Amino acid sequence: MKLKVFWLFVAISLLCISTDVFAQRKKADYFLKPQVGIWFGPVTPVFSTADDVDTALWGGGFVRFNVFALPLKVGFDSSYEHFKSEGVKELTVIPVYGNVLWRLPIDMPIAFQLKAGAGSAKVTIQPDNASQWDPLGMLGFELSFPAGKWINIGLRIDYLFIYEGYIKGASKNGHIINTGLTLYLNIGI
Amino acid sequence: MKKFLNYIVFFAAIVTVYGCTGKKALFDELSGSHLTVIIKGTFESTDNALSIKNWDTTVSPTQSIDDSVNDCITDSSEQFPTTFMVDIAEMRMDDDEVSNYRQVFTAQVSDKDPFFNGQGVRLKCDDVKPGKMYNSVKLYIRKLIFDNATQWFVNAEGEWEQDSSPQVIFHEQTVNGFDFNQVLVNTFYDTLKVNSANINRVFPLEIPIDGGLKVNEDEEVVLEIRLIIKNFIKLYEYDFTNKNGYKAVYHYWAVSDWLRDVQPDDVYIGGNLLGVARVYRKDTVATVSGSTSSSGYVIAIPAYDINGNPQTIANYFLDDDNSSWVRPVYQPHTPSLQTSTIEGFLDYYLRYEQYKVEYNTFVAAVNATDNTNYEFVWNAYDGYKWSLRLPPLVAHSNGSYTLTNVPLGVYNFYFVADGDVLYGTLPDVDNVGSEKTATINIGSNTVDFP
Repeated sequence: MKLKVFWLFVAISLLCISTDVFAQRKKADYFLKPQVGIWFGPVTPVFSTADDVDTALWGGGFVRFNVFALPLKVGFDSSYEHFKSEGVKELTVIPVYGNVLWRLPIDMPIAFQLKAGAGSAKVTIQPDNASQWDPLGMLGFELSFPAGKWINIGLRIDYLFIYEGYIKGASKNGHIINTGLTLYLNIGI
Repeated sequence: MKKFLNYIVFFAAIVTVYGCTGKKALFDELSGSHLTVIIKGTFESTDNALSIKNWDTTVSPTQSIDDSVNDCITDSSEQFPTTFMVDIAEMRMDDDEVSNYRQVFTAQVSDKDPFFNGQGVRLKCDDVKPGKMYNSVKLYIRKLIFDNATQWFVNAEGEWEQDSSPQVIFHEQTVNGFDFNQVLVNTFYDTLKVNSANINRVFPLEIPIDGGLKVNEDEEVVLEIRLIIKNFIKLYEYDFTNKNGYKAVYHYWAVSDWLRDVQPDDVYIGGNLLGVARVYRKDTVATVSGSTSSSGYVIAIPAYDINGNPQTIANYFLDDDNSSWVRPVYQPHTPSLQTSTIEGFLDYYLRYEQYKVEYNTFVAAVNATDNTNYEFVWNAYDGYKWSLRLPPLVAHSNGSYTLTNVPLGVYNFYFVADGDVLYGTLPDVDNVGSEKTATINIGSNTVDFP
């Protein structure tokens, strides 16, 4: 009985290991290629920014490259986000930033990634019709799964922090959470 | 690839540094406003409480009970209101939705309440577009309520008997009072028109901004809105049939019908909620004070209009000697039998005779082909009434006055004695005199009326 249990354990272990190895190789082959994608979804002002403008639906695009020496990807992101209010207030944000993505070492077909980045955001407000570039920092989380060797489908949540604290008299910063469905291609296959 | 990573980091750094070039705190700008809006219930513009006429709360048919009250005269049972309730759905500058917020406030009918003592009540407002000229402010008024309304009905003996006080919902609470905003929807003339159902005079109430509103970038501006309420309210009668089938009336307090006379049995009293708005910049205003030989109102208007043309008080007030001042003949209301008693029948037949006389006059006016024609005189009347402009600067004097927040410039000052401004009226242009032109500079200025 003990022997049977032992061989059963060995067989299951081999099966799991083999499956993991196979899956890892397939995922790595495709996912580690350069990627280009778009996303679309609700963009939500939060904290003090939520007092002035309302949630809207917008999207953006990105490109990503692998860094072979590290378990990281690097990417460029940009999007267009226009927020309205019940009155005349409007806020337009065009963030442009670079980010670093770290894929969590969880061995599943679904890829989990953490993101952090920095850049700038062009901020325009109405009715003042004033605009300027402000520094931006971001943190994000993303999960995706392959839909064939070309396509990945995912979900993303990004928090954008638009910093105005360096301006004299400023007491507020911008806070936005972007959530969306994302679709991107593994290119260069 | 390591080189590529360096490029990415370098790019992020460049973009971040580039982002640090902003000079304005845009998120603070977005949440704040350069425009402060205050609303007052006084004819006077000054915020000096001593230069605002006190409430006159006398209840009498010769003063505060309107002459349109004809069915049930109950002056000894009526009380002057103590509370004024306002519910505003939103506010717009021209058509810009600068204040898409419901705003509700209650004012005590008192000389100490901010709404009636010159301080004003602040209304929440977003920014306006810099450089844009706004000519009017639109108040979308949902409810205007005075308390101390009463209800009366004709009982089985044919006598008027007091019923429970009328109630209305204000700010999701049931309160005693009458919402007179609903009877301000139309003027009497509006009800004669085919499109009367499409006319609404209080949603929005369009209030002209004297001199217009133009805000330059980074400029702090105050918009002062004045609704003429204080010493300008009267008791009216609203006829209806109550739940038990009895003839009944509400007696309610509302703005005076000085401009558009309300006749017995009229339902609508619109066009009588009068307002004016003006703009000033807190850092460029002056105070004008002075003395007067008697009590009355000191009125100031800019000596030149926004086009640079000279103007006088005749560009603001109306003249009750004008042929278009008096309300023209109109189709009389059909009389109804109030009670099935001898007195009721006699009253009915008297009213019926009066009705026939009035109706003949009405028919003659409709058939006239000259300028006494019904439509012609009503158009002239309506146009004349809408031409009323209220002065932007007013203070009341009991021998001395203080006019605050006066923008710098050249003004024409006028004085009108209290004896010429009876309760529930505004000055007639013929009674406004003692014109003085003065240049107002920053600081204190003096304009006396010996």
